[in-house]
Order: sequence, then C-alpha cells, then structure tokens
Amino acid sequence: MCHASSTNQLNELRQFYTDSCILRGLAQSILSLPLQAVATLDLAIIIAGAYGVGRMELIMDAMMKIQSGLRQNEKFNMPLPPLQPKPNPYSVQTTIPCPSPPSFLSFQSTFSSAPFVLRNYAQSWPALTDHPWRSASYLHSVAGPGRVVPVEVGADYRLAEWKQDIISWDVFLSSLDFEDCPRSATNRNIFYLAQHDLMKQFPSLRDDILVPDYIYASLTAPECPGYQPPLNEGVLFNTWLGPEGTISPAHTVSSCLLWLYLFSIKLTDQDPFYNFYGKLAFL
Amino acid sequence: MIHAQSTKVQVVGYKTVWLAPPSISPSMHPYPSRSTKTGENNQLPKGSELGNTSQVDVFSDVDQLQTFPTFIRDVVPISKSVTLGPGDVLFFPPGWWHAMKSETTSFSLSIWF
Repeated sequence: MCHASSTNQLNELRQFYTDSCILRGLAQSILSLPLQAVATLDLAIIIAGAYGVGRMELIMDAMMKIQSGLRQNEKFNMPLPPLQPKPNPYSVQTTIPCPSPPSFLSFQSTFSSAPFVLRNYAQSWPALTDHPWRSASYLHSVAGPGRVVPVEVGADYRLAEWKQDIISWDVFLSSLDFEDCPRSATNRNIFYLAQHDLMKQFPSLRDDILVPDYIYASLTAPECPGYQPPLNEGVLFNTWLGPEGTISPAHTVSSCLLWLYLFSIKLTDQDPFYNFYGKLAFL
Repeated sequence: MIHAQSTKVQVVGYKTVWLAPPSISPSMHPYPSRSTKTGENNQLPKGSELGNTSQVDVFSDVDQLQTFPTFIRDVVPISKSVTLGPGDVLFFPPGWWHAMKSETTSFSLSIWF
C-alpha cells in the first residue's frame, strides 16, 4: 500500500496511475476489448482525476474513438413530455425562508448569512427542459457504452453492510426509477452516486446547467472563522444521484474532506480505492 | 477544518434537507474523530474520515431520540427543514449541520464556493 507524505508525492502517484490507465486502456483497445478499455480510462478520471498536462483531453479523445467503434445508444430525441410545474407535495413542513431571488448585492450583504430556498430557480435550465436529467435515455446518451462510476452500496453510510464500489453506468441507471425506464420490481440493489463530479466524466452535462452569479460574491462567515473557499479555482461541483430512501447523516461541510474522499492519502484496506492503488503493480 | 459556502440545486425528484446552525455543534454528538480516539475504532462510520458526522438520526421521531437529551433540548427547537423539488435551489452558509433524505429518485447538484 502506498502512502504519500506530501502533495507533490500524491500528485506523482496520481499521474503515475493516470498514465498506467492510459497505457492499459490503449492496450485493451488494441486487443479488441473496447468496453474494458473505456472502463480503464474512466478509472484514471475517477481515482486520480486524470492528473497531468493534457491527460484529460487525451483520455476523452481516446474514449470517443473507442466508443465510435461500438454500437452507440440511440441518439436522444426528447421522448418525455415537458415537466409541468406542480405543487411540491412536501412543502407544508418548510421552515426555511423561500424569498424571491435576491439581487447580487443583497445576497452578499444580507441573505448569505442564513439558509434560504429559491423555488423553481433552475426551472429553465437545459437539465430540466430539453436535456432532461430525469430521462434515463438522455443519461445513457451523454455517456455512451462502457462507462463506469463510483457508487456507495447501501442506503446509509453508518450501516455495517455499507461499502463503496465502481460499477457500470448502465447497471447503475437500471437500479433507479425513471419516468422513461421504471425500476424493475426484482431489482433490489441500492446504489448511491454521492459527492462525485459526474460533469467531469460526462462534460456535456456541464452545458446543461447555468451557474448562479451568487457564487462570485465576496463573503465572510462570522459563525465559521475557518471559512475558506475550496482549492480548485474556488468552486467545487458535485452530483448526487440515488434512489428513494438514501440518507446522508447530519454532518458539516468541509472542502478538505471531499478532497480526501477521492484522493485519500490514508486509505484503509476496506476501501475500494485501496484495491485500485494495490493493482498498480499489475498494470 | 476548512468550510465552504454551499448551494444545492435539485434537478430531479424530491429531497428533504435538515439544517442546524454551527453554534449547536456539541449537542449534535459528533462521532469522535480518529485522531482523538484511543482503542477500538468501530464508532466512526466507514464513509467518514473526520469526526464531522452526527450520531443522531435527525429524521427519526423525537420519541426515538431519548438517548440524546441535549439534542432534543438545544437542537430540535431551532433546526430547520425543507423538501426540495425539481428546479429548487438551497443556499446555506459554511459550518451548518445538514442531513439529506431522498423522497424519490433524486438527482441534485452541489456547488461549494
């Protein structure tokens, strides 16, 4: 097991792992194992962030070429009716203010000091209209065949049987209940894609959202003296996709924790990422 | 610990979010962090590397929380909750305790800054 003692050492490991995946993926492609090749390239993104100059571009380019030789999912053609605004069936219990969107300045001076909800703020985003993230068909189409994603297995990370795994995107989507692809009654798997930037793996999803201007506000946090924006360019995106009943227990947000989650330098032997680092020797 | 401002955008389905301010942290009964613990380390959930996770199941009925009297006394009266639907955006400042429960298949996006 490898332990990195400094950021530089960690980054060297990440780049080594990334390059190993690229070589292995290309070898698998030459050996006519395209699905395995795509999954191997995904591991470089999921585990090591495709670290190194030009690596992400190289991986995306290779993946596109490998996938083009496979039967593609049918092009998405908007099979769902538009989402109709309807009353929130749970809104009666709300104890958080739901104001009209504040101006940038009033957000900075007043609203940012306490939680608030902007109802329907993202209603016109492509992700809710013509590129619907509620459509399994659309989510298949942005990924293409062979892709894999990191998931939590189990409804709550405090449970003894809870674990992490890396599984096929198609298998993951089939475990969820979608309008255009209902979950089969026999599928009892509970997979939760949590705290993962899916937009890094499937970049076209990034075009489906519009980042609110509020994130550019200059804020202080009197209740939290340790406040500091996340390291990577000050903004950190994460996506969370899972079935009914998945729970995140009460916790506080730490951008440091998130970084450790993906690139932990103190992996335990129960951690699937440990096993992937352990496989370095076999690449 | 480094904390960030947090924005959560609900894109698909419904998700209930529970929130409480940083000032009530002692009454949240956080798991002891690995660095301060001695002996057995089976108290900390596998998914958490740091002791920033509460032992209290905030979504359970008050009747089931009798083992955490300070939580009932200090946190329950001031905690807040909301169920986000498609297109809703939630903002909360750094350091706030938060828990989430998916009511349906749920797809959300968080932006930390």
